[in-house]
Amino acid sequence: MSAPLLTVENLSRHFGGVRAVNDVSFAVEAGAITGLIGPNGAGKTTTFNLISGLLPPTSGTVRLDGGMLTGLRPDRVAAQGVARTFQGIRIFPALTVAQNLRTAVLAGMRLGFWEDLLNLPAAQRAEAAATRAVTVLLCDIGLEDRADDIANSLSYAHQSLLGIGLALAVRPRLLLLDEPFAGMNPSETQQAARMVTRIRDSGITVVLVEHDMPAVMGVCDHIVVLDQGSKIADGTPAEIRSDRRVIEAYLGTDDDA
Amino acid sequence: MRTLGVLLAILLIAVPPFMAEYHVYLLSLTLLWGIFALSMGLVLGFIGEINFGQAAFVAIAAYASSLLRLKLGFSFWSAAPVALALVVGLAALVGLITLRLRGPFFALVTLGFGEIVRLIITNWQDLTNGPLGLRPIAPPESLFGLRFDSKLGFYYLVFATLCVSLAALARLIRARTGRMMIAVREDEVLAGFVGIPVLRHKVIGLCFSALVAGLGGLLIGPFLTLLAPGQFDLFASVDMVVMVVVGGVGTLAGPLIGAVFLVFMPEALSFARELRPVMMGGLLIIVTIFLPGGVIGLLRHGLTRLSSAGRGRLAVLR
Repeated sequence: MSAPLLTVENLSRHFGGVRAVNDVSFAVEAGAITGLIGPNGAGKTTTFNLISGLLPPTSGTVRLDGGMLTGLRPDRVAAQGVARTFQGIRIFPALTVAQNLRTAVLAGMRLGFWEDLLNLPAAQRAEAAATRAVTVLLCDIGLEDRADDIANSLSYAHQSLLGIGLALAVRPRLLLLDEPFAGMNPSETQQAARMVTRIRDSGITVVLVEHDMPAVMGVCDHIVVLDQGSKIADGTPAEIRSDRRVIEAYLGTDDDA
Repeated sequence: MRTLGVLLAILLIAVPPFMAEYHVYLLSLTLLWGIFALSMGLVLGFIGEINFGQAAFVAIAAYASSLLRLKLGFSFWSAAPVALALVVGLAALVGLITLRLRGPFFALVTLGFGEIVRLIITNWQDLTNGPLGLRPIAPPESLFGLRFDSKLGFYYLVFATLCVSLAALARLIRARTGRMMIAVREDEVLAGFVGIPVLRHKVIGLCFSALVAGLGGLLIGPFLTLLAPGQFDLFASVDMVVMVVVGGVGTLAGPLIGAVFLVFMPEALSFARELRPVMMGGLLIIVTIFLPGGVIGLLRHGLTRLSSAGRGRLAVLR
């Protein structure tokens, strides 16, 4: 086992008296797909928001490759090589698909303020490089023939793919996917799952939050289970499937009946 | 659209020498307001906020340049860069503090900023001569053999300033910086997570907006030969907002069209002055309800119908 890419240590987030995430620790191995699952209200998305810096934790730390992520601004988190998608999808609605991707690609390029504003050769090179990168990304997410469509007009599944494309445009080392298969029909889910596997095979570490159990079991190399804000299990899909506490969390114990 | 613009520019250069002095004056006034509206258009359309303190940027540039000329003997041309640097620097400072706020909160704080500037100008009587105003403010000194002491000469200066502002903003929104600004306007959270420093781009937007407002501000003193704090009250900023909304938010041509609608037309048709605020309010209501794309949205809609080629949607990046 290689050194973990992402280390979450004693992470907690309280909203008033509610302990949404309570002392959660886990490690994410580089080059694997890790699933974060749990029943509704388990704290999955909150954990995601803490890792990506959308929310500051009440206590605990998140490290990427040894460097501290906790407390960084979103654009700094992105600069460290962490990208994320959002539950319910976030895209730039009024821009075309290609403009969406171009924005994210250009955001990551090194280009001086005046070089850009005066359209100096460096800026023209950056634009040309962006054009190439957008072509590749469009192909990666399979939206080549939707390039000039306004993002808002896409179907939900296509918007979701664009959301992943925006995250890939950041050229991340770590990709956080928040319910990537939500709102997709089985064939779309399969297609998206294959894409997630391809993303891993291209060398990007993936962490995903998901409700769709068969999809999670099929695609993940490693699973972390949360329940009521705390981690209750951590292992391979086969281990998780037979874990008593996980089954209890999902189906309830005999006492509940 | 581009051909239309070039044609219009040629007309604006060629026709004024044959116009009556009053109409040249009116045209200058319209273009001057066009510059102010353009500066507001950037805030409203490309940062996505309402700045009720925009008139303060105009006032600061106007007063700074005029005071440098009157008290320290600067020429118009040497005072201009100092005044512009001051207003842009101040915009950066104000932006860093206020642009963390959004929506009504930002609008309220800028309203406060505008009023503070106006009150300072009103009450710092030793420097600004208070409500009595600064006068007389001479026309800009001639430059490279060009004279600006006639109505027509000054008109061309206003026209040139408008063209420079327009060109600068057109470049800005096509440059990476501009597209990052648009992304921030579209979705601030997402923009942050794709790696865009959100606050930085909003502040840059406000600085550009202040630069354009300042360029107009340099001209307003010589244009009216008088500067008084009353010219820069809240309603000046509100007028700019109305122009942008009437013309079309999120475009560069929109604010200019708005200025024509709200400055040139009422004056040329000699509406009663007292009716102007009522008219502004009425127009704003009608446009927001029936024409959310503004006049330019209507024009584009018409053009698309004619050519039936493009999309009816308000484009942000063309």
